[in-house]
Amino acid sequence: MSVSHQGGCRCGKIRFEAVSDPVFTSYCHCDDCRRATGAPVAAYVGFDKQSVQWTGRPSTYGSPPVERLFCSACGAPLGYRDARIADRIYFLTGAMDDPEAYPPAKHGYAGKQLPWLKLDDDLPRFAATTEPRPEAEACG
Amino acid sequence: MSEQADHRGHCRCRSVAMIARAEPELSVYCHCDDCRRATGAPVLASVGFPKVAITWEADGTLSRYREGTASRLFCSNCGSPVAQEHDSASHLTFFNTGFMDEPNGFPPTYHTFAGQKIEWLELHDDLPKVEKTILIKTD
Repeated sequence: MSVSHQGGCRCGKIRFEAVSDPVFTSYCHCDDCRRATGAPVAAYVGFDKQSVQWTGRPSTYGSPPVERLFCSACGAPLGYRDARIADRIYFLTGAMDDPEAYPPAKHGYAGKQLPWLKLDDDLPRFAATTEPRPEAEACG
Repeated sequence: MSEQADHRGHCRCRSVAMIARAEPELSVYCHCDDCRRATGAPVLASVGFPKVAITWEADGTLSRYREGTASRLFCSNCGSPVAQEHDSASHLTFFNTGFMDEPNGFPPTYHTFAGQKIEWLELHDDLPKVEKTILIKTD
């Protein structure tokens, strides 16, 4: 049976499809994710980059190693890439066609959770990133 | 005369920045599919200020995407979602709390489109839940 996880921006200019299953899911509470979504918390689903095919070309913004992807036509944020984990790509769950399918497995930057966001679950909480990086300063 | 607070916000690259010189009229969560696509996040929270009290300190890259009865404002340089404008509340601009410099200061008081909440989002509070919006006339 073929695997297909699809998503895209709001206006339909950019679409993507991963043909392998996710390798990662997490919330992130960091300040940068908050600015990049406008929302109180972000949630991501990670895939092997080589399994992802694009229709349309996302715009990018960010200083290395982290680059965020968005649609310049409708402004929808799509996800990010981290050069230190170069074989992965992380999509925002809200950019996926079926966001219910990607429940986060943990919380990144849990100490930065907004006090009024009463997210009450038993998921593991990490003070910084949830996956090791050479320098721990990125998201998720 | 009471002291008037300044509420500031800016996008990631600071090409869009604003000051609101008024207290917000409302602050709400929204669980609708459209807010999810427009932010990428599981839920959006936004805070509404009167347009007359808003000064844009920088807006050279401020872009609008309109669909239905609302426009979404974003920075076309860094992609940060900024705000929404709704036809049914045309005197207000609703800034995404994540765009604000002090998001802690704007706790939401309602959940709107509560029926579209993501099931895995374990948000447990005592705030009122409404099925649609508290703003937009639906008839």
